[in-house]
Formats: sequence, structure tokens, C-alpha cells
Amino acid sequence: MTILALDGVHKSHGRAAGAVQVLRDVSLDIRQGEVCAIVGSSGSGKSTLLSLMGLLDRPDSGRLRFEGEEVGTASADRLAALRNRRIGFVFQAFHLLPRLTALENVALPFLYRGVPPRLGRDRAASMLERVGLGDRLHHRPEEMSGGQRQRVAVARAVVGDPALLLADEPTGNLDSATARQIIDLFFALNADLGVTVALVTHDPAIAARCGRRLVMRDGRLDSAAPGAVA
Amino acid sequence: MRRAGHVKPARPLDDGESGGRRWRALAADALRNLGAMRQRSLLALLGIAIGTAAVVALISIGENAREHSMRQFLAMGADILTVQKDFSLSGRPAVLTRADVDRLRALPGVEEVAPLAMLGVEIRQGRTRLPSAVAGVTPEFFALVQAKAAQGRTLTEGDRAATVVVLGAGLARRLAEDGQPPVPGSLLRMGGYNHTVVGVLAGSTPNPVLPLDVDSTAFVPLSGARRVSANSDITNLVVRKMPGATDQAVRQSLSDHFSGGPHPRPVMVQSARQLIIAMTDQARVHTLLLAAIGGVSLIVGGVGVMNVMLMGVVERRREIGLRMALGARPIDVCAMFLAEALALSLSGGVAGVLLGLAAAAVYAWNAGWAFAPSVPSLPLGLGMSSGVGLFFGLYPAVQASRLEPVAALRGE
Repeated sequence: MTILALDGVHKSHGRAAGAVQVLRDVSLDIRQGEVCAIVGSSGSGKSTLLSLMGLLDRPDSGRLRFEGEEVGTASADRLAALRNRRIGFVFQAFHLLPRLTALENVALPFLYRGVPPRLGRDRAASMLERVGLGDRLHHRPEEMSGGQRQRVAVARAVVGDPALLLADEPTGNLDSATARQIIDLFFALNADLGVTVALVTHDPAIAARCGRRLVMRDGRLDSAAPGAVA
Repeated sequence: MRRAGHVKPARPLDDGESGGRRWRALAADALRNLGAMRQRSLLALLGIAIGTAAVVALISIGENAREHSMRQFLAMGADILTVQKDFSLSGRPAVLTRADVDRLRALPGVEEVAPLAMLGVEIRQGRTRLPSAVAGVTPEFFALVQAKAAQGRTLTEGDRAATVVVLGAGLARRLAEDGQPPVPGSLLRMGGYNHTVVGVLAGSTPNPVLPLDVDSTAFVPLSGARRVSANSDITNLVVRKMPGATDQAVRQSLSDHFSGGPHPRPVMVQSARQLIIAMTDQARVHTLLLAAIGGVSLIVGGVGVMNVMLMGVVERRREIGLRMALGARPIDVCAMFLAEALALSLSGGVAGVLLGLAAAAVYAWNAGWAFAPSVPSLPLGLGMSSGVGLFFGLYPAVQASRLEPVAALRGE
């Protein structure tokens, strides 16, 4: 089953004359349950592609469908609701709120879902335990190592039980050993929860582990690259 | 694995959205955010607090001042009117006579009339010389203005030809020789005659409708006023109206008495009620003016709130972007910043109300008034501060909610 479908998507940054074409005629399907790496050189449009996939941005033209729903023209509120319930994000810079504890950070998505705070914290606690941080619930980000912070971020991304987990260079700020643990975590979550994973990476070793690689070149999806391996 | 099984069943709750709970959680979130930028919040809060304090203090002070002057009137009776010669008109000023007193007494609605001759002379007691107001009065004057003797007695019919004097409490204090104020039996020299003090009045608050301050006046019998000063014509008539009579009607019949007949005499009739109304109007204008000044300081505080919030929006772009990525709708972001602005200004408002009441209490204590907290100033102060917070918080909040998630996440 296809979770996400892009069809002839164009995207440019900037306005009018100075606009830079970032994505040109990109079409792809993300299927449920796969782990997919997006690779390519800097400025090839990987991150822009990921933000379109995460419904953080809209395509200039072309169709974008999420779980069969046409979302290219959906309202901001609808996109927010889909991001809240169906999509999880992990960023290179973790993006944890420094004044909140690990537990509060992980429970944050529930704030926008109207889940009772107690219940949200309970689910956050069990998810932190799941990523191996059961003893760090009440630590603030500054009291944790990079790897621990990224695990908190991963817990936050999947605590709401999303269909799609998007990661933008999740290991970019980590040493290789920690990076491997985080990638292991992604695969484990993929296996346990069935969450579909799409991650942008520079690391060929990580890309090699993924079942599918999408290579971006100059704003286009490189069709010469091996498409579906899985 | 086992954990996965644990998380999955909670899924149905995803749709358990409830409005009240959501807003309460958002409010708690706002307070936490404010706490994080403690110092800057405190400064903006200070601005709001000062503005609110100004509004509350000024309104309370205005209200206490008004109550104080009202109480002054009521102490002396609001049923008093005075008739005095109108010097503003051309021609010979009117002459008030004892015959007028008797005729006015017969007018409907008039309870009592007392003639009054205002003189100014120098009083001497031993080495003390004091220029003072002296009033020639008849015995009924004291009852009419509710002046009572603290020592000795007031004047009686038997004093008609005697060289006696009754002193107001304040005047007696000022005449003190070697720390000893004059007592009944003391002698005072006025206009070349020794006058025996027969009484000292109890202290009283001045009644603005009377041409004299009872406290600082020496009273001599009207028939003996000629001894004190060459010009001892009756200058005023003090009138007490009957409790049921309307102010308007009595004023009218007094004026009619003097303007009627073959020789109309121009006089001015003033009533306590008239003065009270004028004073109340004046006090209202003052209060409004003072409140407007407070309002201006409140607006300055509001600009401070806007400043803090705008800086917050700029500094917290990544956070806004992250919250949007996690599912915050534009209205959630807007509500978060509005709630923060509201919490900020409302806590400033509470502090300001307390501060303002304290300031008003100190002012009232200093002025010797009875302090009563102005009830409408409390909701007004809180309402104004939260209104200012919402108004000045709206722009930053809307700015925040309009950020594009991608740009905000990059911190642009």
C-alpha cells in the first residue's frame, strides 16, 4: 500500500525572477513499511523533498497525496492535524525544547491532540523506556549526550504512533558509534511498530542498509539509480 | 515485541479531543514558556503593573477625596443655604436687614434664618496679636450650623449688650499664650474693648457653603459688632430649609423675596446641594483625567509587552517551527503567544492593583481621609491590563502563527 505519492512535483525557493528551482518533476511512491534513504549531494533538493513529504511545505505544482488524500491544496489546519497524528519528524539538530524535561518533550505532540496530560505523559514515559531512556525521564536536554538527545527526539517522533517517520540527517551531529545505535533504533521501530521510515543521509553506510535508496541530483530523482531493492 | 503491543492499544485515544482540556494544557504551556524568559518578562510585567497601579491609585484617591468632601457637607448639614449681597452687579449693593430675617422666616420651606456680619479685626491677648475673622451673630446661628461648645457656652439672648466672645476651636489654639489657650473667663481685646471669652467651640470641618470657617472665627453678639468694627452691616443670611422642602423651591422663594417689591435688591443665593453637585462634577472630571494619565502609562506598559512578545517570536522561531511540525495549527501558535501575553499582563495587573491600593491608602492616610478601596477600580484595573495585554499581544501572536513551518525550523 502506498502511503505517500508525489506526482510531477515542482518546487522553487524565492520569488519571480530570482527563484531557484529546487525540485523538478519529482514523482515517487513511498510504500507502507519500507525504510527508504534519500541521498544526494548538498543542494540537490533532499531536504526540500523531505519537507514536502512531511507536509511542512506545499509543492508549486504537481500532486501530493498522503494516504490517498490530496494534500497539496489542503488547509493549514488539516496539514497540522496530519503531521500531528500520522507523521513523526527527527531533525539533525534534535530540536528539543531546552526548558522541558525529556518526558515533557516527548509528550509535546499530545498537547495539540487534546490528550489528557497524564495519559500523554504515561505514553511518553513508556516510549522513552522503549528507546532505552527509562532512567532519564526527568533530565533536561542539556543534561544528556547527543545520542541520548536524539533518542528523545526519536521517541517524540513515534510516540503518537505515526504512519510515516521522516528523518533529516538524524546522525549528522553524532559520532559513528552513536549514529549506528540511532539507525538501529529506526530499524527496530520499523520492525516493531510497522512505521514507514524515510531518512535523508550523507552516509553511504547508512544508505546501504536501507531497503530502498532515492538519489537526488540537481532537483531530480535519479532514475538511473537502483530504485526498489526491497 | 512486547513494548509495541503496549503502545498500540492506546491508539483510539488519538481522537479524544476535548476543548476545555486542550485550552488548559495550552495555558499551562504558556506559563512555563514565560517562566523561561523570566527577567525580560519581569520588566514588561513591571510596566503593566505601574500602569495599572496608576489607574487604580488615581481612581481610588479621586473617590476617597470625593467621599471626604461629601462627608464634610453632611456633617454640617446639606440643608443650609446662604444669601449674600451680589457685588458683581452694578448699582448700590443690597442692604440686608433684621426685617429680612423675620420675613424670610415666614417663607414656606424655611426652618430657621440667622443674620451674619463678617468683620476682620486684630485680636490681642497679652503679647499675642492675631488678625482674625470675627462674625457678629445671633444665638440661633450656633444651632443652625450645628456648632457646639466644648468649653463654656455659646451666645444667648442675654448677651445682646455684653462684651463677650465665643471662639472657634482652631482660633483658640492659635491664640494660646505660653501654651495656654484662652478659656472661659479669659479676656481678649478687640476693637478697643475687652471681651470676655464665654465659650470655646468643639472642632468642626469647614462647610464650603458658609462664608466663614467656624473653626477659625471669633463670634460676638450681632448687636455688639459695632464695638469691634465701624462697618458692622449684615453681610450674609444663613438659612436652614425644612427637611421636606426642595432645594430649588427654597432658593427660588429666597431670590423672589429680594427681587420683588418696588426696590429690588440683587442678592446671590447659594445652597449646599448646589455646591455638592458642582463639586461632584468637578471630582468626576478630575478622576477621568487622572485615569487617562494612568491609561497612558498602561499603554506604555502594553508596548513593553509587545516588545517582549515580538522578541520572543523572533528568538523562538525554531520552537515555533518545531511545534508546527509536531502538529500545532496556526491558531494553536497564536493562542500560545496570546496566552503568554495575557498571563504576563494579568500578573502585572494583579501586582498593579495591589500596588495602587497601597498607594491610595498611603495617600489617604497622609491626607487624613478615611480610606475605602474603590470597588470599581479592581475589575477596571484587571480588565484594562488584560485588555492591553490582548491588544498588544495580538500582533506578535499573529506574526508567529503566520510563520512557514519550514522557514521557521531553519530559524529564518
